Amino acid sequence: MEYLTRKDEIMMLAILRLGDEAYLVKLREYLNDSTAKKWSVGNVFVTLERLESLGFISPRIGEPTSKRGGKAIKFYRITRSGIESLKATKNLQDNMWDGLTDTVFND
Amino acid sequence: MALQTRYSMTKKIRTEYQKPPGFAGWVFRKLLCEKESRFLTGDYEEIFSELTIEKGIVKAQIWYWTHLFFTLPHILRRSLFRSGAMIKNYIKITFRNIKRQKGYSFINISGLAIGMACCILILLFIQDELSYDRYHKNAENIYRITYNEIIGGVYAEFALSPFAFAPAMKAELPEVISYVRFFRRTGLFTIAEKKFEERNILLADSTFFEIFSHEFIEGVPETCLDQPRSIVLTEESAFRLFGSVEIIGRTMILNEADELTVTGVIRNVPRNSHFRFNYVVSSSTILSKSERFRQLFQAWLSVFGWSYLLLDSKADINEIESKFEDIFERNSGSVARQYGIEAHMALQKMTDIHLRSKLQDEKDINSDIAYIYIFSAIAVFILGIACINFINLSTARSVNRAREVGLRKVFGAVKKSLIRQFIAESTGLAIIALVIAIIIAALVLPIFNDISGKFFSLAALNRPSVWLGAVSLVVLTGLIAGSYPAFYLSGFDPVRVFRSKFSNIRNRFNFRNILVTLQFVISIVLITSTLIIIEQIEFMKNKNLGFDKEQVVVARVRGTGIRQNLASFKNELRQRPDIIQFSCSESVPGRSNSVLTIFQEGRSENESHSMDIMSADFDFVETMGIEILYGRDFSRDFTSDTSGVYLINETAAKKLGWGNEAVGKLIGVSQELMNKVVGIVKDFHFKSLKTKIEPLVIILDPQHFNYISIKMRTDNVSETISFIENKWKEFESDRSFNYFFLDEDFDSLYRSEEKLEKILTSFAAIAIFIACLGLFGLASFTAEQRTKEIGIRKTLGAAASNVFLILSADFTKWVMIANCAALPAGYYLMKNYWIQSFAYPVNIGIGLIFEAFVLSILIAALTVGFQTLKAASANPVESLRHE
Repeated sequence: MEYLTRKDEIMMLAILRLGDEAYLVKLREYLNDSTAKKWSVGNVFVTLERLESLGFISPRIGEPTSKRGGKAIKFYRITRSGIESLKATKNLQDNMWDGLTDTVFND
Repeated sequence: MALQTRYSMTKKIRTEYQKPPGFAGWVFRKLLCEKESRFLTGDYEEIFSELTIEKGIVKAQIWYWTHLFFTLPHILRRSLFRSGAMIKNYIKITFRNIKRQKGYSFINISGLAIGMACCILILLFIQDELSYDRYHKNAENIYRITYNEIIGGVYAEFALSPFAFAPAMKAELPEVISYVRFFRRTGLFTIAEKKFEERNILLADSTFFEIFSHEFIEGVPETCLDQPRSIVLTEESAFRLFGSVEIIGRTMILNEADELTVTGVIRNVPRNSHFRFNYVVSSSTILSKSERFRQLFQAWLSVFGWSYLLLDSKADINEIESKFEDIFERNSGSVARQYGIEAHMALQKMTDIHLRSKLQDEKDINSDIAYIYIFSAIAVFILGIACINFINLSTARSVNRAREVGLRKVFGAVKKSLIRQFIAESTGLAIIALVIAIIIAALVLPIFNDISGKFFSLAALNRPSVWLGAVSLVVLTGLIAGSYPAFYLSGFDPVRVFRSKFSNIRNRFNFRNILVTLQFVISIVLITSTLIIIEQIEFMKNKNLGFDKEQVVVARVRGTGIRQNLASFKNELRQRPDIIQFSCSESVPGRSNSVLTIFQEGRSENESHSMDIMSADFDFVETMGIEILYGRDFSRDFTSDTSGVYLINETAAKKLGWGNEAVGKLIGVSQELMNKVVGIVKDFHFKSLKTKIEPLVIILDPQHFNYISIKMRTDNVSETISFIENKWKEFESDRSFNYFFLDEDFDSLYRSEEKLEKILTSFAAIAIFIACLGLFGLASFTAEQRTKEIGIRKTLGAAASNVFLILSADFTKWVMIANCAALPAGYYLMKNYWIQSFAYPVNIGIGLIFEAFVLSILIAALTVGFQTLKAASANPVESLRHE
């Protein structure tokens, strides 16, 4: 099982969080707000493309809207294998952190 | 879930769609594939619309552009990755083609490389020429005062200006921030008993270093010239005289009189300065002791040095110039009228001096903007010729690539991608050529320096501008050379290509021939121009000048030793039988004379004339071999001669209105000082042949001289010179014996023409070479394509000579046509833009045109001949066997 990178992990969690609203513009706004870091459109786009090509997320084409100049929205949702790799990553992290939390936070 | 709802709730209601910048959208569409771009641009446009509503259109635009910019790397990487496979294939095919067709590739690449090397060097040259004087902090606001006067109808424009002028302007015009005046001398420095004869010493106002920015190693720019007897040295002269640069406060004696204190050392004057110097001495040094100089510094009508102004950056030049008249009139108008002088001043921008100023008494020889144009034109021509080679050879060989194109099309390549492939291929070749070009440029740099008179080092090649130029060269040649073949090749019809008899060689009047003709037109124009320039220079060097310049050695007298003991020095020289004659004079032919106002007997003051005047000794006419037409030479037999009688030339006699009757008449430099004209000399060229012979007055004044000219026998020249040198040393222990041969010195007047000759010869040769490379390639290709035809012709009884004629007729025809266009063009250009600037132009005969014609035909024939001969003499059995 391949582990996710930090950026991939954050992106997938964001997709989960936004549910049906998960598409590039919203994801970027959310990430900008919650990670206190500026995400460029390209950065989000490239990450999404990569996750899609790995098969962790799958696209769903929405209706074209007028405010987008008549262009359709590409929504994303997490696939089964995406969930698996999230789980594996979380497990790994928990294992690694196990018993060290106090040492790190209280020192 | 709570967060999610909050998130969608807080969003403002988005209403209207705003259209983002069109160009940015276009970039996206080009870089991304159709499917991707649809979503991504949608996302972009959504954010854009929102931002427009929230923060206004300007901020939204800025956002759009910055994001596009920062997204580009991500997107580019992706799109490159996707097309990577294809690019790999293109590169592979390019290299296979280079390898398979070594000969053609060599011709293409070497032609392009030579062309590019020329361009790189020319770029260096032009950049250097344009950089003159820009290094001064105030370069844009420094102006030189120029002075022009009309005396007796003769107009003269000087780089010099009267010294009283600049201070008056500073006092009256608020726009003038500061001024500096300086003049140049040679001098003798004494440092601890050691003597140095030095040139290029400037005597300058204390503001010199405030106006001109020079980097100080030691000393303070603002105050270093404030005190009398201060001197600033350049790094190089400091090392030569003191062996160190830490010499502030050290002393040196100028001309065995003034003790100077070193107050500063500056870095050597940059080469791209329109005047260079080795020393700057405060002018107060000389003012404090010489009444004559005090007067000169307040003079309104005599010029002997240069003045520069530092103006306010907002100053209006025309307005300032319009006030000159008034200032001049108030201060010296009446005096000027009294002497019959009409004088004007003007301003000249310092940064224009190097390329656009050709006045009398420039400090150093200036360049000419024409060189910039000529060089640029040559660069374009040569690169053009190289590109034409590329176009011709690629289209000629298109048969060989036709199958590849067909196959690619069958497999779904569209015209656009094929065009991209061919342009990429030519750009690839251009890159290879560039690498070679840089190597070539580095190798020929010394030769180029010699031709152009520059001092570029290898490091000069490693400049941002050169790299930028190189990259644009690659893109340019890639596009120019690649575009025609790309459109031509990509247009092939796959169905036609795969029919076995596909061939496109025998097209009659085609683009390729026009291009070959064009190459030869350019080359022949260059050949013709070069031949005409050579002819003109030869003409000027060999024309009878009216005096005998051969076997005359001229020495410049700077010290006082010879002046004080002139009689005994002359006696020493008379001892030597190899010396035929010698004479002292103020000037010699080829060097500049004073220009004075000449008054004549029987005319009023207002009818004066401005004429060249020089003082000379009794034997001057004889030493120079000048012919006396009327009257007699100066003669020791007439005691009255010593009061200062005149010889005038024919032109002067005509100008004075006396003609042959001038002998015995009185002329003079002022109404009070009139003296007799004893003879009229035949006109001789005392200036270069670029100008008409002007009126000249020679006054007998043996005491007033700068040069000693010595005419000697042809044998034992070196012994005679060393004899003179030894005698010289006896009289002038401090000063070295500097001499030159009169003929060489006179010929050096044509140095700029010779420079042009050198430049054109080399570039014409290169242009011809590249054009011939292309012709050679084309010829061998044609011969190769027509092997079978030749074989059949020969079996049917054609002789090798017939075949040779058939094959070469084609090329000869085009070279002939090129000649028809180029010979008149070259002739016309040179006649109207170059030759006409000479007062004594050479007559361009039909012989010279014929010479150019034969030369070009010969070169073309030789180029084509070898390949053609090989094809014509081949055994037909060989070529027909495989059918």
